[in-house]
Amino acid sequence: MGEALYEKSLLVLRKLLQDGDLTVSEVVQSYLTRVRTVETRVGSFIELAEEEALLQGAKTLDERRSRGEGDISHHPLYGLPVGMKDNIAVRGMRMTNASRMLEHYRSPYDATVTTRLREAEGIIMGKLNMDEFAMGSSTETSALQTTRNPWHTDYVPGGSSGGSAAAVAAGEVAFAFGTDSGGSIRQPAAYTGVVGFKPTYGRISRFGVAAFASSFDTVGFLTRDALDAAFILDIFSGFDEKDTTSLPHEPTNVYHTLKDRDPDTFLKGLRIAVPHEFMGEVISPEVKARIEEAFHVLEQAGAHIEYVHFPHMAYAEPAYYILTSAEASSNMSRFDGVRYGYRAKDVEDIETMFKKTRSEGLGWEVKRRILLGTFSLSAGHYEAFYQKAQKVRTLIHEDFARLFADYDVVLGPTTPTAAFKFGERLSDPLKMYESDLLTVIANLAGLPAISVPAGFTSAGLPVGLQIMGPMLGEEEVLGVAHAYQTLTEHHLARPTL
Amino acid sequence: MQVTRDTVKEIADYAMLTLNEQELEHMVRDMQEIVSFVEKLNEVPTDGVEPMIHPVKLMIVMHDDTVQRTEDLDAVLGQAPDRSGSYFQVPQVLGES
Repeated sequence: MGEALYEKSLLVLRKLLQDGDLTVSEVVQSYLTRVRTVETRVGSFIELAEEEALLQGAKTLDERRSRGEGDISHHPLYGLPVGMKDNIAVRGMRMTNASRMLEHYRSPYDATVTTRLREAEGIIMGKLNMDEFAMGSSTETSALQTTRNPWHTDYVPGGSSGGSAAAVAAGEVAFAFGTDSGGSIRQPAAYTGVVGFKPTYGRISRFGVAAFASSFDTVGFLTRDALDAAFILDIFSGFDEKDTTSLPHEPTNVYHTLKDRDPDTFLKGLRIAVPHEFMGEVISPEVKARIEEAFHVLEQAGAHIEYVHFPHMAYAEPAYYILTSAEASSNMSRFDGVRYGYRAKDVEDIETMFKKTRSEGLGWEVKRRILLGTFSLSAGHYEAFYQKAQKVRTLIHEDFARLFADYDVVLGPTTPTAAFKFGERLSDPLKMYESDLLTVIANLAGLPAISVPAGFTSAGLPVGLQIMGPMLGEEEVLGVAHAYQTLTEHHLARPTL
Repeated sequence: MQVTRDTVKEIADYAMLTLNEQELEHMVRDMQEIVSFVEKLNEVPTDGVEPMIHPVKLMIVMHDDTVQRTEDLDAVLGQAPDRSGSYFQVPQVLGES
């Protein structure tokens, strides 16, 4: 057989299940064995579903099938093992957000994506580690555990969806949900050699997903390849009346378009913009080399690549940190020790309870962002910081609009360097923020973007190619990613664990 | 701008956070570094630029005025650190204890 079950792409696994060549029990057993083998080294799961319950659930599906009941073509993820980032509500399971504040919280309800996942008959394997409340770029701010990069366990998996990325890279799940507010799906995907896809803001419901920065937060996926991501997007996209920021559009239909399309015909004449600012001095020579190789592959297939300017690039990160911290400071005010989560002991009055609860329950990075946000929203600083950043957000949006008037997609590296070692950046906030330098712009403008594997550094660490598209341009983004993957084999490499 | 101990203390108070002496010193340093970094925005001319509040046009969703059963009261209250019947219980808010 060669390739183990856990190494197969979602769509290959799905076909084997749909054709009856595999049972759900076999698939779940194979993934459970894989988790048992590698999890002590990877540390992706905050909570793994109970083994007995998983196997019983698989058996129920198999028995129903053997009786000829239930049309599995109506259940597009039938029997496929899925991981959820721990900021997404799954009824009855933990939802810690990797914070002491919610260490013992169990969600009493399902997020909309979880409801749809259950309807699609995917198997929920468990909840995955992350940076505390998604604030961080290495999963090191998790208050609960360490997640390691499956390619080299001395290195971070990236973040904030580090558990999701590591679980997919290590073959512990067939795909994983993540959230991306400034690169939290794409950056860990780049660091762990998997595909990380963030759709247009509002494409997928945020109902039941813990809010970090509400005008930036986007639900997306970490997968083995771009075609998997297209298939999953079609299932989870679409309007949700429970989310006022959900876009009033029908679900996408990208998978069928891509599946039957000849990648060469698609790439011929495609107009690709590469901003000089994405390839500057801050980009490590090895990352730059891999990305230039990727450009060459696309050019060989007939795409037109032109270097352009992105005038406000240097201001994206400062604007991003002001705006997301401001939104976070407001969102985090709900953690007061009254309704759920941690409450400090031995407090006499309510103000002491609020302060002690928050000070004991929240970690350093979260506090720092709450303070920066409160600062930039406070009287005397509001105009100079918060409103200034909102205006720069407009200018970045306009930079993109100008580019997309002439080009189909914008390309560059996902991150300036490959993964870094544990502890290397934790005490230097600006150095840590630098790893999101190239990803925050898509969230400032709400645009769809993807990171796809583009080879390795000499130390054997993965490098990611980033593709950004216009508003609602998921088909362009996934189309270029899929075409690139039919011409390359980087995404087929697997770590040795 | 200079980030002072007093500024950070005041902001922490607004945000219902308490920092001990050591944390306060550390936070002043971190905040100073971040504020100096974000002040880079002052280089950008923004006269006449509209602030962008949200990446997509927001739409107000109107629901039918019907009663829907959503969460189970006990499941929700069961998450509270302290409760009394169907109420959340907290330390005394007003008056002398």
